[in-house]
Amino acid sequence: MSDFQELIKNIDKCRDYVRDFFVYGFKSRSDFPGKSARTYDDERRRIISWLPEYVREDYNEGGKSKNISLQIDQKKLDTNPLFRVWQTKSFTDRDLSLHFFLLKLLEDGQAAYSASELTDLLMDEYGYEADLQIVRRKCNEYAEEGLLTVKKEGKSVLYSRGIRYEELPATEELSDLIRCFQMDMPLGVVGDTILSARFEKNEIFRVKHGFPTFTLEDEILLAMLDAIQESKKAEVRVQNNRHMEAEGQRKRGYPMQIFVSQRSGRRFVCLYMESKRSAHFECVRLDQIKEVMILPDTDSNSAEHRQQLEAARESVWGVSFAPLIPGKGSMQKLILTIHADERTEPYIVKRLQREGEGGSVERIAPDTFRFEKTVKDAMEMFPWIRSFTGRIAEMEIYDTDGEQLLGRNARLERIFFSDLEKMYQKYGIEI
Amino acid sequence: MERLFSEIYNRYFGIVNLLLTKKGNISRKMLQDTVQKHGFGESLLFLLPKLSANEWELFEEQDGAYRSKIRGGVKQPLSRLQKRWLKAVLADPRAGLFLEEDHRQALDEMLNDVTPLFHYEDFYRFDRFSDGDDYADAGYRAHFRKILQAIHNEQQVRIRYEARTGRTTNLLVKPLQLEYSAKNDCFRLLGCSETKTRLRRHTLRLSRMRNVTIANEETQAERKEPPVKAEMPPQKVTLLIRDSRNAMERTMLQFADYRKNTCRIGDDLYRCEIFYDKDDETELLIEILSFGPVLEVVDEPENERFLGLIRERLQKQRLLKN
Repeated sequence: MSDFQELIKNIDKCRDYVRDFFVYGFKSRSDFPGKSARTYDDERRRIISWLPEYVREDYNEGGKSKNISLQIDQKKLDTNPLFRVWQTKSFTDRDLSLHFFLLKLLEDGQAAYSASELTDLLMDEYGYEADLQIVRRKCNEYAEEGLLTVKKEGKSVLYSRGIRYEELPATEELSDLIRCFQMDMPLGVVGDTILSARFEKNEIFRVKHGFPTFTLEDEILLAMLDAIQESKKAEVRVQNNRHMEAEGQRKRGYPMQIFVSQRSGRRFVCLYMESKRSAHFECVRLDQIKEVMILPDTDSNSAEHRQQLEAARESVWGVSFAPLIPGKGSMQKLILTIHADERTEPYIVKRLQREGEGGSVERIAPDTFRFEKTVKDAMEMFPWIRSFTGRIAEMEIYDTDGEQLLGRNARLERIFFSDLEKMYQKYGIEI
Repeated sequence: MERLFSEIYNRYFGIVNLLLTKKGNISRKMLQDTVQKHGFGESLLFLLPKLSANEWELFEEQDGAYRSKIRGGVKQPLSRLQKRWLKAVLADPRAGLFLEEDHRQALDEMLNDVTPLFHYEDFYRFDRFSDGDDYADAGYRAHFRKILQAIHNEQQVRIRYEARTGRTTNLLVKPLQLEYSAKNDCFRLLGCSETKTRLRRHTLRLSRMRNVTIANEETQAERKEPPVKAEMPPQKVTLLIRDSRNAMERTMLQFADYRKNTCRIGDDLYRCEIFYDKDDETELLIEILSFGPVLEVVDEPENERFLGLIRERLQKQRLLKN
């Protein structure tokens, strides 16, 4: 008989499978070489059980293998279906019974009982027999979660319930706020837990340009946010999602800020990393962090490092940082000349201004505009520049030390224009 | 540190609580229907037997029916994690769209035993457009609230709207949904209006609304599906992805916003169908161009129009700088 369970103890393994089925919606059993057939089958069955309306099963490569993918049309969603992953934690029979009996006994906000009194009340009120130690442990666990509050009266420890959602002011308006924010804000899944507890739905708000997979990294994000608030050092194990069999790399640093790309669907933690000889900022993708350990070291210069980060960000287009002390040719200046009809295409200039991350925009001739920005890695700008295809009159890249131009970077320019050449060939574009 | 993966957020707990709130007898059929409606796909196999056998001792059993021992169920107190999240989002600039300042402050005070889960400045959205909506603007807030009220009450609104060209028009619209764009950092109203012959859909940026009033007219149309669904069939474009420079993963993530079908057709070669709304065509076009040669629109009759758009841009580019 199968020992398959719908609920799980540990989310790590399943998170990777959900991500793979969603991101690479074409993987079949043979694409998970490091896993047993049973593991693959169980994970697949679980995902189908959790997300039945989003799962699509079909055969690929001539019907040789069956694969599943998750078909999610983000713009039409009232909530993120991947939040369901967080609703699957397994529990014991006692966990569930005590949850309801204890919270009912403490329903009156004024009531405060010791663990021993609660143990007696469980028997008197519900005929439920429980060991005092177990009741105490559960009460302490719930106090830790914030569901119960604890106060000491003489030698007794008394438990009472915490505040309920219904006791907050303006809950009608607040519920609308949560409906809107649960799909967009960091850790929106927490907002979803508030709505789900009341079976409240969202029929009003939709989010465009959202990324459902973000939630799969939320536990990592939570640890990083705590480290940021407490200026603690963290050790992370980073593993490339394409090479899951490798152990990965360990990195240590002070988490400073979460970098979010609204275009590419990636989130990063920016770490301040120091060694005896140098210090630098480095961004690590959250979805590639498989483990986090918060270390006891505290950053005594966190305010200074935050200022350094803010200054360093000026020369970062995406997530590539220059060394804190720029060396010769460590920066690149990109000059883009764009052709746009001033009368009929003012939105092109507006795009340069609003999407150019603080780069300068200047009209240099009728219908001709120059955009300039100095960054650590101009190649990070290429996808954005390609989005102006059809209007690029010139693109130059210069090596610079941040002050003086040191000469053209022919290698990068060649990469850009040879890609363009490849596109002309692909689409049969001739002069 | 708080736990996000905790049984207190488990879906089974929610279903059990729903059953506990039921008054009177609960039949086996009701148990089954509730589990089927609110559970996961296989919860009937795992949750229902536990409930039927009353293993958690939460019900009194009589003649094959169940009665809740916990009348009214429980109203779970907020966890620390939930309170910390609320505290954090109350500080978001958009919170003022929903809450009056005195309510926001009162909430903040009631949550004074926790620290916010994050601060706005803990996040750096480096490629978000810089001309997002001004959520602190009193007029904007008033428009937002009126629209929200109209959606709740299924009323129509009169909107004086300034188009991108600068021309203003007066519209009578039934608002259906509010859409937030994370990339543009703006809200849009999705709604519809009726002419004699057809239902017209509207996507209107809130920042371009010059005046909004609730209309007194009875709404003619019943509440409809979102207009994007109602009126326009999705368009489709098929791409070939060559998995160099990690293109496969980048494509799948970047186009996460769209419904899509992907299959492998050779070593490091994939075929991906993307479904999109006509309104989003230009945005999708420049996103595809931004990938360069690793993405290619498949040369087949279905893609003819989209291919035409790509070729037009490339042709212009080749003439501009050869």
